[in-house]
Amino acid sequence: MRRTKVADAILSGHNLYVSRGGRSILQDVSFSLVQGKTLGFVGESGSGKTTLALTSVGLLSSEQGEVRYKGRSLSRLKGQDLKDFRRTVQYVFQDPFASLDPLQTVRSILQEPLFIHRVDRKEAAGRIRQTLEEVGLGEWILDRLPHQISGGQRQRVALARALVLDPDILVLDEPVAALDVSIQAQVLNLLQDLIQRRSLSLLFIAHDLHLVHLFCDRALVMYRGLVVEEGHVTDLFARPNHPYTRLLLQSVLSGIPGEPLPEISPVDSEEILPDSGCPFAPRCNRRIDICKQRVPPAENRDGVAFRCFRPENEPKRS
Amino acid sequence: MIDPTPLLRIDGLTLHASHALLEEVDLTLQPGEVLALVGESGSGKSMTAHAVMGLLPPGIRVTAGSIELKGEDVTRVDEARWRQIRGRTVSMVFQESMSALNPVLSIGTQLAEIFRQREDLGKREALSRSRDALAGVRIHDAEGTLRLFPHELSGGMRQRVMIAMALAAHPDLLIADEPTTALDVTVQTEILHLLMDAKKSLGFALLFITHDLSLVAHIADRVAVLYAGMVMEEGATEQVIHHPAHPYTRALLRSRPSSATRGRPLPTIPGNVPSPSERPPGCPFGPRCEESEPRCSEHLPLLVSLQDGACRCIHAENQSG
Repeated sequence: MRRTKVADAILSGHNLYVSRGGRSILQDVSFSLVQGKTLGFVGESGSGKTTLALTSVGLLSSEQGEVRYKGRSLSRLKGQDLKDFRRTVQYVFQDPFASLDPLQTVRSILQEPLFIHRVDRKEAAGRIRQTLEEVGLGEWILDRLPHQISGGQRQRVALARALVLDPDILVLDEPVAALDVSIQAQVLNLLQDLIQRRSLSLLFIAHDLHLVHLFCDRALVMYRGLVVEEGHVTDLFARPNHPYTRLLLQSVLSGIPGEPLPEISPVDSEEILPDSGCPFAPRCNRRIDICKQRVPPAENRDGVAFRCFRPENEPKRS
Repeated sequence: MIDPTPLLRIDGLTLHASHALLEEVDLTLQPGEVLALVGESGSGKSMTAHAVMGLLPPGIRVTAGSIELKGEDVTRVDEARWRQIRGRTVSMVFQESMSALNPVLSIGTQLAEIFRQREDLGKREALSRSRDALAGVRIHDAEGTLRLFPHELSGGMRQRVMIAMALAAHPDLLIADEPTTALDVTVQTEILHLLMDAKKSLGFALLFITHDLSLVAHIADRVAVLYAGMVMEEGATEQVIHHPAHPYTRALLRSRPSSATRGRPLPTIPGNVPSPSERPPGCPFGPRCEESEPRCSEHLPLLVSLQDGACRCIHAENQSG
């Protein structure tokens, strides 16, 4: 929201707007990814988190505002600079079965980006071998097709494909959501390792708040295209300011036998998106009249930014 | 005080395609009880559910064992009898509501069809019952929703419609196959509340299929943990979660992101879930188990009864003597 630490941001978005068919998908969204850190995009389906990720890497363009890579506007990158940017930023999708070409062997999946970026055959082979080792796969996998390997292995291949180009920034869109529980932990540990070893900067998209808490330094909480709260994850989780952040946290199951399901304020599923005001207002149990009239401005409090007229931690009035 | 004829008794159920898919699965469900079937992909949990619904895909045969619904072995009944059983005795909510609903028919047409078929109602009466059914799953604008098509509804609303359909004929047993996996967390909580409240008022038993042990803790009376087509552990929810008897259950509980600490690696289970054609000899979990011994690969451990439950592990075999 606020342009914090623009100086050390490797990738930042400034007042981004995206709409489709007259419907606003991103509304005045700003973010800042600091070199070597992990920034989470949190929200439910339709919150705009994937749209924001795609916009951040230039796969979608914003109608207003701009994305900056190391301070330079993406829209001004041309020729070799643009090609370099595309090497620097790699995207790993949620479902490795859908994102890997079923007709290509793992070898050609891993070679393709290297050839596009004009790495010669000999060096390519070396890089592929090294990257495979890094993601914990043997060379036996090179001649397999995606359907011949397991889901966890497919996600490792997808990671390897992103890493062969030696990127600085990795975008992970729900990287373990499609994996079995026993495989998730393996892939998550591998990610932790890679982040540290390669000092990667990460955009991490997830709906699982446990994962966000484990992985991210800061997080944006999004609701219907609006960033409703942004801050360091420990602050967000300990003291949510926005009622939606609180609702998300309340929905997390404790997993303790005998404990009742969390009681949450009912979602009016047939609710229509309001024409004006805070998009969360129809579901919000703290709403007041003004919430339906205009979108709350971003407000900063103790390093956390949020958009709410009646935040959860209002200073006590005597 | 166990009812002599439980609502559902699965006894030694074994299913084969080209390989064994399920092996000697034993499960029992009393009226009004909630049993969670937990497992990873390929564990056989959905296959078990489809067998109980009489909806096994072609090519999959019951090669041993039985499935008794209210005392009747349904592995031996014909399709005409199944049409009487499905909906009334047992009904199912599927994970993918988009593919389970007919995309070219309105919600009203699909729901009314159930009442016209099952209760031989006229068109108007069937529609009015459909409206009540939607109101029963807390859809406020039931009238308007009847006119909508599946793609016009959100995932959560479609799942409500699926539940309304499954409960239309007041079944004794509802099978819910990962009904909230594709939903957002806040919507998941609502659907779970809806299911549990409906269970309370209608009194059906629930067979809940999931991979999520945290969810199980809140809704299930009993849990069965499946792995590679076998029941590895079964017992009261609190027992299984607080005092898991099987190393696989323990490993699953440990590897949940919710039990991890920031900055420290998560405990993992090495290796992969074996596909039916790759199942190892002996205990199927043996090669991935941190407590395995050479004899684990020699024979398949028996499902040994424990104080309140059962466990398929040589260590449990030893304990029970």
